[in-house]
Amino acid sequence: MNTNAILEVRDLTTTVLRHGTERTVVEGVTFSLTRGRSLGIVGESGAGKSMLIRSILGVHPPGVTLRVTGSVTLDGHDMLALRGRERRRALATSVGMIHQDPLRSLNPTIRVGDQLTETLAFAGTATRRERSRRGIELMRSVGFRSAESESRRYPHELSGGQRQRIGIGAAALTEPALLIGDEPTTALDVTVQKRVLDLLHDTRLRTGSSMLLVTHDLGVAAERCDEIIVMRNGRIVEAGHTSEVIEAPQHPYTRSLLDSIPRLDGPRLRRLRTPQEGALS
Amino acid sequence: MRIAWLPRAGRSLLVLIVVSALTCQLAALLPGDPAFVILGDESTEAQREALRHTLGLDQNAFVRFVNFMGGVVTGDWGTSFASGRPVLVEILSRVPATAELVILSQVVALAVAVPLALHSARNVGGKLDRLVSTGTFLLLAVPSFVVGIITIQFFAVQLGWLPASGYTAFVDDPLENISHMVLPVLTLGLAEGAVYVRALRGSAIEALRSPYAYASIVRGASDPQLLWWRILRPSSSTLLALIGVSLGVALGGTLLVESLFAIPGLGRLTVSSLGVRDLPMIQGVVLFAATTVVIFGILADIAVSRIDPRSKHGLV
Amino acid sequence: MALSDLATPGVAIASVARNRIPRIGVIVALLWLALLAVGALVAAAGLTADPLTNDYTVISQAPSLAHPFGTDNLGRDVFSRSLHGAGSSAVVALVTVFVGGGLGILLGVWAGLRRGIADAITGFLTDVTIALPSLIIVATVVTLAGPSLPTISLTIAAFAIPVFARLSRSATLSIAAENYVVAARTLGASGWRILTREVLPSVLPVMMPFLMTTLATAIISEGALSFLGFGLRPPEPSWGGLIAEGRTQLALAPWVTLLPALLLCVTILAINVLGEHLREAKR
Ligand SMILES: Nc1ncnc2c1ncn2[C@@H]1O[C@H](COP(=O)(O)OP(=O)(O)OP(=O)(O)O)[C@@H](O)[C@H]1O
Ligand SMILES: [Mg+2]
Repeated sequence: MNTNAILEVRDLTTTVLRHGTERTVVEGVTFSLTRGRSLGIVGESGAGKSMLIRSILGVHPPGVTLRVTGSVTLDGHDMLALRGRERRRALATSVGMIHQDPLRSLNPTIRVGDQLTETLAFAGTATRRERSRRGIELMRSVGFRSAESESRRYPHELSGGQRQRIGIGAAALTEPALLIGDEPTTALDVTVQKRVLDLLHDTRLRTGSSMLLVTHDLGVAAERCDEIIVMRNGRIVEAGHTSEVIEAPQHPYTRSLLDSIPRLDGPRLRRLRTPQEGALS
Repeated sequence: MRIAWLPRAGRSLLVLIVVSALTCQLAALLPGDPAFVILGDESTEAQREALRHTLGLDQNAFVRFVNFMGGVVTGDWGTSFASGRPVLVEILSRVPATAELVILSQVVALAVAVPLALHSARNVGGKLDRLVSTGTFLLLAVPSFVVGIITIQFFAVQLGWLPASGYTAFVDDPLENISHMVLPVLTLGLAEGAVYVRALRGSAIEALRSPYAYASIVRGASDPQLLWWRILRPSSSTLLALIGVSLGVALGGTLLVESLFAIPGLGRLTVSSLGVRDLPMIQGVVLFAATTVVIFGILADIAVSRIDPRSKHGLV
Repeated sequence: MALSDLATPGVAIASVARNRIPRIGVIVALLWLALLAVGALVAAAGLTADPLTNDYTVISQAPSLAHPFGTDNLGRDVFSRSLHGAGSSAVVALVTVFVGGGLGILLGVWAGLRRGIADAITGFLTDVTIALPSLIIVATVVTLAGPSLPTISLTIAAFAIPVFARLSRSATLSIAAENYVVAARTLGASGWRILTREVLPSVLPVMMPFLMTTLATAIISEGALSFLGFGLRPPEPSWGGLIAEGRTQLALAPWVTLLPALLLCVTILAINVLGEHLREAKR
């Protein structure tokens, strides 16, 4: 047992029950993430990455009957046992999440400033005025220059990169112990992807959060994470420090993933986490 | 609001003009001699001639239309055969009863439908949801006049809790007014409510499947916060459009419910005018009903554009 | 109220969450409608008690073997009257679907293929029809032109035309964009050929669930009309008329009202079940 773990997942198994049949989408997943470090979860589409995140958080797709077994300890909370108010408080204070599709993960009918700070509204811990002040402050910190007016915009009035910066700002609001990104850049242009990942990195440094970064791109995980888990068909097929996984992959599946990223042999990999020039999108 | 207002209003006006044109040709378009139908076979030719003149049937269609439109815009909608009073006065005097019935039933329908729809959507496939879905599905198969008969029989006749029919104005006796309103409001509200529940439930399920609902839950929203603060608004476009249609149609007269419960509103007026073939009155009622449909159609559009910022840009 | 639904399915039908209909429900619904059809035909052939003959020896009798639905205050057989009423309802419903639906679909497909002015005209006609208070208009027409089954069914059918036009127009628009129609056009197929070979076969299945909805609304509309006294002239039996007539004797002889009402509701339910099933099957 890692006493300095922000997230400890033991034998997590999630089974979808449908029409009397069972399908295990996450199977016996065990790992732990040390405070302050970052972990990449890599795997092809359908590998169960998103389901793993949902199972950790205990937030499941509507209308689906599931059985979740194992244990999840997140920032000291026993996530599978918590219910009601305690669970909501644990989510609000310990987790910040950045979603895959920045447009669809923003409510089309709510001004972005209000969405950025909705965690505080749900918790009821800040007045409307405080929230709007925090929102503007946070928008500045993620690179909006005229934050006052832009906080009153609706999501469809922003660009893709701007939307994802709102997402990052919202995730950082409570300076959570754990930031989770479920493919936060997949829906973005290649040029914007990099800036968003950099912003995520800066935010992490500022808030001191640990990070769980889901991606199907082993290259991105290699650049941004201390450790890597490779998933396939709901199971972990390979896990280890980034350098180990990249340099000496044990599982043939990892090797095939590596082979599909030609640029890893090029100069890109050596530029690991160098600060990026230029303004944010 | 950046709806293209001028075209929208212009089109609506054009619709009303065409409706007026159809209305004032109604008698002439139908087979047979309307004067004969209205006055019966015991009338004299002189009487019928006089009636044809009053109805403008002795003129050509265009002249009739111009005269009718002239009257419509100047507030002279003709004179009722039955009461001898101006049609517009007669119509407006019936509006309060209908409006009270319609507004109350909308309020009741929404007060029940919105929470039911949201909470069954949140627990889709659950006990409440299955009950609500099945219940509304069954309810849709029961026409309002059957609902009305059953409520009267049960609550008024058997239990004797409420009066079966009649109406007292609110200003005269508020308590009496309410007691007369309960059953008709229930009858009308039940049918509307069933439709509303199904519509809102559908869009709320869709909204709850969206990534933004996931995001709000991870940010610690409780079920009521999620549903009322974050799901209701993006789910309500269809509901608003339905409300607009219902209000528009019902404010033009709820024929069945008003007849069943003897409420002296526009619907009753329509039925009795039809009974005595009071053609000017019928024309007036048709025009009035069309106007309310058009107006509430526009109001619903405004409401949708208010509630869903995307719609201003034609994104939804 | 019921008629107005005919004019506004665009909003009413959209995105309403579906019920899951069990297979047995579909079978029962089909059986019910088949049974009713046979009953109506048997009645129309004059094989049941005469629906119009008064029999003062059996006034207001409760349901029995001789009179399954009992008798009314003139001693008429309510069962036979209900079956004759089913016949009238069926005529109205079928005329609405075939005439209203048929003309509406043709109009919509035409507007969708031709676009431009055809489209504008169809759209405007739809707007006008939606604004018209259908129940009042039908009642007026029946009052002035006289109550007969053709008048009633054709007027109700008329209000279904624009609705079908609007729906089939949008179905046509999405189909016309697909390759095979474009290909057929480029190959120089005639308009008629494109219509009958390419477009209609794709539009009709899309319209099926809505045809069922229309069947139900037409029956409810006819019921409402008769209930208000603007339907077939009494003593001619119709469902709405039976329900209205029985009201005065509800305490004494509830079967006179409630059994035809039940028949009406179960029939609507059966049609709705089939409509829902078709809608699900389409997805
Ligand atoms: N709402 C759902 N209902 C039932 N099964 C689901 C649902 N969502 C996902 N699954 C199943 O769970 C399995 C894992 O899916 P998951 O979304 O976790 O994959 P992923 O690794 O995140 O893929 P992607 O890279 O495409 O996001 C898949 O087999 C999928 O079919
Ligand atoms: Mg995923």
